[in-house]
Amino acid sequence: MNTCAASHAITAQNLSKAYGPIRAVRNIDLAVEYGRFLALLGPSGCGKTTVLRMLAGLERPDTGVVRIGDRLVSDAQVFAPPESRRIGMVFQDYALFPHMTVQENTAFGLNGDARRERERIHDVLSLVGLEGVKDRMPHELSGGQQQRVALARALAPKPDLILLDEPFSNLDAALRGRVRQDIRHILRTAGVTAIFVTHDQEEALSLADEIAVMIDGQMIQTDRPERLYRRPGSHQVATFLGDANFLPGQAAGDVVECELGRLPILEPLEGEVEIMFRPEDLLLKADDQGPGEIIERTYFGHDQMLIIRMDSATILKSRLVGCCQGLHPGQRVQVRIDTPIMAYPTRYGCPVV
Amino acid sequence: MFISCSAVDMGTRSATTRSAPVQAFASPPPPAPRRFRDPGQVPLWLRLSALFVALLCLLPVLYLVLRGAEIGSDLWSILFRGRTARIFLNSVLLTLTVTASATAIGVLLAWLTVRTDLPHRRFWSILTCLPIVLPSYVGAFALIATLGPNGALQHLLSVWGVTQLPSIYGFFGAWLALTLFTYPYVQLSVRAGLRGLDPSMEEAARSLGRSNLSAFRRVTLPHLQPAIVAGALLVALYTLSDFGAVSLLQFDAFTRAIYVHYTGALDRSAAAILALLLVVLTLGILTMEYRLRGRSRYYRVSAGAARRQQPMPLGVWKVPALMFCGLLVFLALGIPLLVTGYWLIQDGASVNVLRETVTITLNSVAAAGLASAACVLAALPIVVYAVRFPDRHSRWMERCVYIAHGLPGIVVALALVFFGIRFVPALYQTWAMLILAYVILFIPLALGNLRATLMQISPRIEEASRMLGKSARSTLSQITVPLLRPGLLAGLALVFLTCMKELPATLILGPTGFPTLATRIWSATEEAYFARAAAPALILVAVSAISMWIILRQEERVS
Repeated sequence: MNTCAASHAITAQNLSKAYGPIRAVRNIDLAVEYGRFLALLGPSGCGKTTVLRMLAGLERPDTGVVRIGDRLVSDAQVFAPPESRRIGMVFQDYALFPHMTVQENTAFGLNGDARRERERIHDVLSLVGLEGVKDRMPHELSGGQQQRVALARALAPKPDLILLDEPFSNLDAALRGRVRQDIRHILRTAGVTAIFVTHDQEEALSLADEIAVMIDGQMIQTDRPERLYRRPGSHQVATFLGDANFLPGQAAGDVVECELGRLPILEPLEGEVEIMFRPEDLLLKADDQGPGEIIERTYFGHDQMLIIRMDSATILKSRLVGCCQGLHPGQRVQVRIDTPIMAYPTRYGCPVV
Repeated sequence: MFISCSAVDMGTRSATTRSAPVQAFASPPPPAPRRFRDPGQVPLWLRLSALFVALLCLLPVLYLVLRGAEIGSDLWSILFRGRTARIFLNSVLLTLTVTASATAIGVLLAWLTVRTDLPHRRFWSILTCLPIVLPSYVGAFALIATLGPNGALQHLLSVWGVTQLPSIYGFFGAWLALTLFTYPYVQLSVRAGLRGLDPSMEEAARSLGRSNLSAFRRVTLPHLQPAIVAGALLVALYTLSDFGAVSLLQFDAFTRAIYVHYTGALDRSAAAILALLLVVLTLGILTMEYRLRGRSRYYRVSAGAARRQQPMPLGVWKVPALMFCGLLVFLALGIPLLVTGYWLIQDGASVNVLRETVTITLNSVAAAGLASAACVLAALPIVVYAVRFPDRHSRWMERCVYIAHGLPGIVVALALVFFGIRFVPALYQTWAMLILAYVILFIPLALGNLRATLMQISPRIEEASRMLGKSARSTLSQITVPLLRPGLLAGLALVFLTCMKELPATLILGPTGFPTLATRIWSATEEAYFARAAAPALILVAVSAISMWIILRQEERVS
């Protein structure tokens, strides 16, 4: 229906929102293509939920423009109320209507003839796998089921876009992994565009097509998950997305000189830098003459984390898959890095902003 | 207020056009939807209707102040004449003596039933608290119907030729009646305080060489002080604003004097000035109570020490303690029930009286029913405003709503009479005026319930409904109101039962020829036609018992 600029389901430009003196969101831009999932990732209190609520029309932005498809829904003059935006939303606490059954909750956003409505309810409830409990009340359901009802309710009116606010934070850890895959499957099947907010980097990495990292009301970096993990744009982003090792070094073009020797870097730089590599990039070999010593080992089953103290007193983390004989605390080791790594310019040991 | 409400709805609907989800991007200025308010802003209809209700509640006070200012030079002559001084002194004397005696009885009873080895403590603690359910005029009726001229005692004694008893009217009667029916306020408050007290403190005092009594005086009592003062202030407030007992027992305190001046009808400014004076006294006590309540929060003892308290042995005092409890229960509960039963048997259960009772009960039910519905409707905008958009304005509105509730009923009624006669004479002595008075007096009861319920409904639920395409108004009717139902019903019940008991406003503002249960008891007692009051009194005791039960159950649920 839209051919020109409409490859994006939603675009937002220059969104800002302040609560009194607190600038919750500062000049944010985002755009999501049809059918793709964007994760807004950030620590709690970084403003990511406020962004979501501004897109939904539950908060009015102080500045900025929001378009859904080609339709302008929010700018300095215009502000379309939430009910006119055709956006589905799954709330953090699900916000199911406690006085309605699963079926009534799902039907709430529908208004058409009774037969079509019944069909649609049947479709979404079987999509989320809840056909069997449609006459139950919300409090009679488990947490995972409640969440799927919330999803079904949001999907029922066939929105172009669906927003999910910390969708998995209310589930216990054991359930979370499975539900996450289920939800992704359901959303892909429904073919909707989705934006979800999370503070859990693993969740963002595993679910999203694209991740926008937010810190202190600002969007720091937006990228594909693999790229964001391998090539974080700053020290801050790197630590936020998993474990990382940092070492000082001297860059010259596409190599860097550091404690671990001459290493290739991903982007050419000159001068004083800080290099970053992931624990799984650090390879170990037991060697009684090696320059480091294993001081701690944490075993996770599928992998293990080893803490190594170098003779220079540097502490390094290494993640190893499987069980490697001979690598136990007290063992001296050789360390090696085979892959190109990230480097960030520094001045007098501090990051250059 | 509902007119403005629908106007907003029209606005919302026109912009919620569902068709054509996407317009062509090429045309640069897209057909701008109408301007919409920020969702964080208070909707105009809500603001206006809440403001309307708040002003309505402020009406009596505003009018009294205006009226007082109008009187001008007369003000000082009325204020400083001998009669005013006497009324003032009477009220102060009654308030002080009732508060003192009720506090003494209440503290003693609380201590006996919580901390000592009094036999059947639970039984006594329930029984001694029960007089709280008797409206003061029912208590006064019981007293007069027993001890008054032509009362039950005189009937019984007439066999021996006794034809006159010492008069029950005046200070003594008013003091006795009010003491007997208000001491439970102190008892309940102190009881809660005693239960929250850490027993190890008292034990520490005893281990430091203090005797039982000395430990109580030096350690327990100071800790109970906030609870005692809170209860005592409630009693003082009750006494000062009580109309029923004081007027039936013919003691010239403020409330009775105001009524006499008002019905005397020649000089209504005097009634207005007396009412203003009473307001000042009441506000003084209210302020003290408010300050205390703020502080008592810090006082609460932690629940950590949940050890059972060792009951204190009463020893030789056991029998006197039992006699004390028995005497109180007999006076405050036994006599009213016995005497009501006596008059019911005498004549109160005759067909004529019963038929009449049915009619006036229906009158009471109708007035209370309308008033409770109106109260809940009026409380709704204030509650939604205060809970969903708390700001400076909403706090002020809530305060306005509570002001009239703290004032004596007779003052509010009188102010509405003045207002009605001058500005809306068509409403004077109609149902509308009576309902308005009930709303102004009792809206806080509905407000409290609704507020607590709405606080439990997450705003996310309302937002979820908006996200599913429902306008603000359909969200209100399909989500918020159904979820509010328990609070609505509790508020409705509480206001209903309270209206049934209300006396002064009903007496002054009720349409002529519209007797209710309360006014019937009042007039029958005044005419010493006790049999006619018996059945209504029983019904009202039941009504207030139910309302007390609802209040206690809610307090339990909250804590």
